[in-house]
Amino acid sequence: MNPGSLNYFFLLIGTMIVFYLFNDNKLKQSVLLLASLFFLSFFGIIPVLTCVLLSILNFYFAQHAYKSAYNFPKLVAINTINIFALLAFRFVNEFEIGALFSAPFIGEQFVAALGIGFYSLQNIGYQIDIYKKRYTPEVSLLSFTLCNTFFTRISSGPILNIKAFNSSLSTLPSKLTEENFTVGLQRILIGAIKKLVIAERFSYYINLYFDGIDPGVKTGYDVVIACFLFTIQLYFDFSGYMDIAIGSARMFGINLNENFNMPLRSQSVSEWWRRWHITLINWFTQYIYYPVAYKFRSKRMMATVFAIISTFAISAIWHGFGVTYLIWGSLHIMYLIIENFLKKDLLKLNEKLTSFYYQLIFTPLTFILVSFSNLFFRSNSLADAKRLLLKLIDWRNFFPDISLKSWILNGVDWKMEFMVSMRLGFLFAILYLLFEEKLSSRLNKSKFSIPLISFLIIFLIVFGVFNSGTRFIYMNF
Amino acid sequence: MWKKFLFTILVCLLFLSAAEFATDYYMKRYPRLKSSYISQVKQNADILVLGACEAAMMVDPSLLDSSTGLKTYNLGDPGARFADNYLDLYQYLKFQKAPKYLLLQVSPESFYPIEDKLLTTYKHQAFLSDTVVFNVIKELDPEYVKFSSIPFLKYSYYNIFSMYKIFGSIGYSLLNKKHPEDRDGFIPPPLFNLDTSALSESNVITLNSYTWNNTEEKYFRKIISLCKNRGISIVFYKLPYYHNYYNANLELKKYEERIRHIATENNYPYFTYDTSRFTNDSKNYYKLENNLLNRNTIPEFNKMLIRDLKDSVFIQ
Amino acid sequence: MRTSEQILEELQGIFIKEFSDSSIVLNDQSTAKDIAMWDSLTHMGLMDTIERHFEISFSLDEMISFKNVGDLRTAITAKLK
Repeated sequence: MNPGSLNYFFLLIGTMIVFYLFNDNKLKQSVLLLASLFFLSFFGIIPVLTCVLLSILNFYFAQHAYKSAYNFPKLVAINTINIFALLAFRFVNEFEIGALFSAPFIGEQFVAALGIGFYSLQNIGYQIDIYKKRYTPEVSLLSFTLCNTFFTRISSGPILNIKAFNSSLSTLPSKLTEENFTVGLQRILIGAIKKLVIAERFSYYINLYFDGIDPGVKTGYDVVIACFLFTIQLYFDFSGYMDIAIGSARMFGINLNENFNMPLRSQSVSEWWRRWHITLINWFTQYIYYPVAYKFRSKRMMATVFAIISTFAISAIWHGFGVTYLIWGSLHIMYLIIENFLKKDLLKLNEKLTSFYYQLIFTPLTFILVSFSNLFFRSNSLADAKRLLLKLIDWRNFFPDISLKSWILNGVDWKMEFMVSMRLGFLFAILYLLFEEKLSSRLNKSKFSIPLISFLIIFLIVFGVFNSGTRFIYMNF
Repeated sequence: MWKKFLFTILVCLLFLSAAEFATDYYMKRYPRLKSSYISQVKQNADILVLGACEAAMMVDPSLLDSSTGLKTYNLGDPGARFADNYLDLYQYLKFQKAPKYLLLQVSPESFYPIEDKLLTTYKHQAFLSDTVVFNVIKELDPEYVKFSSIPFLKYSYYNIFSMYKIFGSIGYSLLNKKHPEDRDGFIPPPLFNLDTSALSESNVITLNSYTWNNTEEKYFRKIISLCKNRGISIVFYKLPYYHNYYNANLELKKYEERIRHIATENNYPYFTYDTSRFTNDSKNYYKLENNLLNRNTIPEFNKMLIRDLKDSVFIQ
Repeated sequence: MRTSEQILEELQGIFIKEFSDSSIVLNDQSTAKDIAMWDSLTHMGLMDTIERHFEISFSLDEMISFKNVGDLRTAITAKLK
């Protein structure tokens, strides 16, 4: 069952009905937990067991350790288990399917323990917080487990702060308010539109370039387009999922953290990482970057460099064991270090050029740098990445050797349908990106507007591509 | 709030019904969609050409017409497999008079197991509401059938394909065009000679080996029995295979034997063009991977086809 | 004993030197958003300079809890007592 599939919406509506039948807070939480376990059971019994057992273990361990002086060896012990579980299941995944993206997008065996990458981080962070005495351990096993399993976001985040999530659980609404319903519905609809109307239209193209034995990539130009499109696709796919997750949670009166803040408008790679996958980056900043930077702070610049390296090295391993992820991580380490050294000059340049021209240069540049790193992020293997890179540097054959007309259409005979569809998706993507700021603030408004919601529903059904690859890309992690 | 919500749903349903009605209307009248075109315009053909894109792009009815005196219609459909061919023929016979001859492209490649069992051309046929078509699609693409039976999502599943055709159809009706550019169903390949986007020669030769596809054979035999019922005599022909490709692949020869066996079993002629002079040079092809000749060599291929037809079919 | 104003003034000097930006003017409400150079990458270096200057030391949790210059100044005042 994928978020965005019809089954998911049936589950959501069913859960909502039962949820609002009860008045008792504990019962409401139990309904959400049952729905979440039901959701997980679609992916097999292993995800359910892993998630529940790890939650119980972490819950009681923290409680027990807190009472009897939580010392460092205990922290190491519990987090070794958490990390081991995370790596073990990641390894099982890699082992079974070879490479992340080469597997068919639909299939249960694909995710050995759905969402383990996300809730393990939550648990690790929780243990560190308790150890550091940032707050007291949770008292309710029910809400703790729910925080790990909550079905709207288990497969791809956002990563929750257990404390903040539980405080919102204590004030679950007794009635579905107009505000929650409207914002929730709008967010779900825009999420589905991002995924089904925009991201899906790119998948034929991108799969052809990155997975194909079919020689999709003929020239460097194709590689460039494929990388750019993948970055756009990943954004629409992933943030679309987030919109559905946040919108669905809103239906139960729960506010999840935003995970994206218009990343494609970033003017530097460090800004990108403040706008992209925010909850994950916050986690890494809080539990890896700052402790490392703090420890070595007397080394000044070197401390920053070292902290960046450790953060992205761990991030790369978290994403997968492949060499391609390490290269992806290394590229971002390099970008950030260079940026850190040039920061003063860039600021001066910004003053000199005025922010309009600065933006005009550095927004596309950031996009290009990130897209280049995504070549490795998306490639199935090192050999594939090498194949694409070789095409990219072959400057003599950079542009395709065909007539201008077919170059513009970029396709012949029956493939035209895909090409037209891809261009249509691209048009929608550009329109969305141009009006992103206005649109997202409008969609967070709580007034129910008949024209707006009708428009979203009609647009989704008329332009949605419902047939292929309905999995969200980030469900793999 | 709930009143507003219900009103919204009502607005959406009204709009979507209108959109679905318009889609049905335009789909039925799109001249470039052969299955729609044959339901609208009488063809009166004596020879019907059936096959995939190779048939659509390589058999030129105007050449056949002028040298045989018989009227030809090309029902080749890009991406079609035997199941699609069967549906095409079924649709044709539903609206048109039965032709005398059926020129059927049967190459070993026609039995490729293409990853899954999906139909390749009937992705837009939700509007046909024909039980025969429905059952074939149900067998080969159950997900599509399941999804498109949800109200208002008739065209959503293969949106990419239907959207393209609706745009095309609206364009045609704005220009008031009732026929496609090529009236006899012939779709000449693009102008350039060897398509640079196609597989390289060595890639074609190392292409996978395959196993006989029983689903394809089933529909192949259905075509044969449909023709027998309607008194249509069938002529099989094989594409002019690029010789390196053909010689390197032992499987192809086994396939050909089986096809020949089916041909003799039914007493149908089977034309092959492996030794023709253009199979020796890759420059004669537009696309090597599916043995598709280019614009320069197609007339010559048609001449050979006509000669064979005259020699062994029309003489009887 | 330094007064609050003195601490703020000294902080301003540190910020100007650390970020080589003479245009920086601090008040209690200043946040990282107001000072272009001040972000997570330069934060730890800045904190280290402040620690050395006032001869105090912060814990990690303290360092990342400062919301604005006012928080920072209050923490320094408390440590100096």
